[in-house]
Amino acid sequence: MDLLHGLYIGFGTALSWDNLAYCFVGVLLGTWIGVLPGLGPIATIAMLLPLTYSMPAVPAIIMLAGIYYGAQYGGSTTAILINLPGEPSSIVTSIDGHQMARKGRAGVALATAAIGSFVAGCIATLLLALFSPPLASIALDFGPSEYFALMTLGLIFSATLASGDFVKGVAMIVFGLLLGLIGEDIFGGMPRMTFGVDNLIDGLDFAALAMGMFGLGEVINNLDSEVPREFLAAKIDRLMPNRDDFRRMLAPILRGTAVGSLLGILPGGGATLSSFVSYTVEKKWSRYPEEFGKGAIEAVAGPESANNAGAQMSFVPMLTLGIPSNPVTALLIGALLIQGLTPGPNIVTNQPVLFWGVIASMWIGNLMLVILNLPLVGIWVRFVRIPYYLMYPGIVIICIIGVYSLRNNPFDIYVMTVFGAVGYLLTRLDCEPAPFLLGFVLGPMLEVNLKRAMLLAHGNVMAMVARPITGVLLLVAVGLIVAQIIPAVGRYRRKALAE
Amino acid sequence: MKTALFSKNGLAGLFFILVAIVFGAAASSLPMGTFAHMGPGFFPIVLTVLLALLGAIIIARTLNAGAEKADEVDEAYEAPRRAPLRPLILILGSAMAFALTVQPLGFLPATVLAILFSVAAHRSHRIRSAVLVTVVLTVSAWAIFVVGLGVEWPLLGSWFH
Repeated sequence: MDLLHGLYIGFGTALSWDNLAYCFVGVLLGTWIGVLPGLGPIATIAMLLPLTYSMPAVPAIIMLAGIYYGAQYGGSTTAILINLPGEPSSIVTSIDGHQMARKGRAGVALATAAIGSFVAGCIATLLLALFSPPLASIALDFGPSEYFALMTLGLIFSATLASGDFVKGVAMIVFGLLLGLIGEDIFGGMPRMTFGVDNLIDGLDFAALAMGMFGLGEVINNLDSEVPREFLAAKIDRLMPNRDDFRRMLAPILRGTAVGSLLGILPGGGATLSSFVSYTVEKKWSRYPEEFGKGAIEAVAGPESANNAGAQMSFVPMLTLGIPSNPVTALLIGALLIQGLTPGPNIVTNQPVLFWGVIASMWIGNLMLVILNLPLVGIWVRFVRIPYYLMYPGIVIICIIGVYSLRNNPFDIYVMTVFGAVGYLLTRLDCEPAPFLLGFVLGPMLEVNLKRAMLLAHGNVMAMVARPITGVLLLVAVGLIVAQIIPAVGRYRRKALAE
Repeated sequence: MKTALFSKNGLAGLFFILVAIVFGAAASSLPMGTFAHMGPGFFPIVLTVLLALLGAIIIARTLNAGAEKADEVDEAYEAPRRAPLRPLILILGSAMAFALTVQPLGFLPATVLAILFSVAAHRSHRIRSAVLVTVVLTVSAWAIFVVGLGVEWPLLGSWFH
């Protein structure tokens, strides 16, 4: 299917009143939770998963995707105005963005963030449309051993990019893999590791787990350590950047888009990593490095473009290979599975309406966001002023009732509670929950592919590894592991992540 | 050695080993099969062994860390900070309260109870704000789930019939 034909189908779908409405709801909701600290796209999408049971696939994914990249826009608003990033991907924006606000240039900062994000979003959407179909057709030749190798590499990669300890990251992944296997074995129908509990025969419910770790877990963490908010909201006067600003923001926007596009595709990548790397890149490249930290416009333009590009490009592995690269896309794969669709290279050819519709809606969503964000800034800021103690009970109760609505079974709430506790415990011990979630989603798939690969290779491990693509992928994975073990690399990595 | 074991990394390592033992035991009764024809127990057991190994590595490193120079040592080698248990217990208690009462008492009482528990988790709540939040949220929950989404949950449960 060629690009123009695909886009024609895509826009035809995305421009229907229904899908436009869902796109709007998604980006609006995304911006709102992006603005609110303490509630992020992961928890929100998890909470809305039960809702998608009763919706058709296309609007469901359009809406959920809108929440993700919408949150990138929202997070920058509060980062700039109140020095309180709503999302981790906006932390970098708050450094120089808030300084710009203090100098009376809040409007320019906000406009820069919006423009950068929009340009990045458009380019990323185009890249998504251009590269996904060829990638998918390459992937169609993949056999089970290639999938196994790719998933393994992806998991190792995400452990590498996680900000904590590599070994703990891998341990969390393995923990996730193990828990993902609980339930009835697909092949034999034997219950595995269910401890005799009937409710576990279908395995742990993904949404319950996600809401426990990321929804309740976040609330508990926030209640533990409440940071008083700096209500020094700067005044917003001039919105339009002047010619000098435009000149200075152009290159950072393009560089940020490139950084975000590359890092977004990688497993473990996505919005946050892209924004951090972009900041470092801009600082090294800038003609005015002494301004960084004091209100350099490049430090807003680059990272904001990067986080939006990263968010959108993280859809590539999901749509072409069916492999999630971060918890958000893992949740979206969950949503597709709820719809009875199996994510994989077949989606491009078998579900063209879904594939191209989502891509087209991303462009439309970016347009809506650019129009929404600037006039509505005042309203967003007012929301942030609502004290957290009035908001969190709402989050908690939505999580609880939402989980109950999955199967009308209190057991799912017990699961959520347990994982709320486990998630809290592990966060206090500096173990990241994101690799765990990735492992949980990939566990069954990893096993199926390994089994089939072994069956085809008649149990001969060397034969499997000798296949070219498999061999290369596994070699890279081993290389990454070795690289982490060498102390010198470990120290460099810690320093790089600490900056 | 005791401090090392109770550091963040030490406890994490212990956690992983514990999980590995528990799940390993649960999976040990499953047939393993061969490399070519992997049984249901193969992958799970491999994972539990791997997890236990990783846990051991994490603990082993904490024992080594004491010997390193002070300025190079990661924060993860210290003990976890103390944090109040109240929010944890009350938020989880809120979920449990709902789970335990939604069928006997019904949707409305369960929701109210859950909200009360969660409100109690924050010091800033007084009677007025607690009541306000409870009323607003209960009505919203009813509007969204019962009216909006049409779920068929009994508003008052089996105890009342």
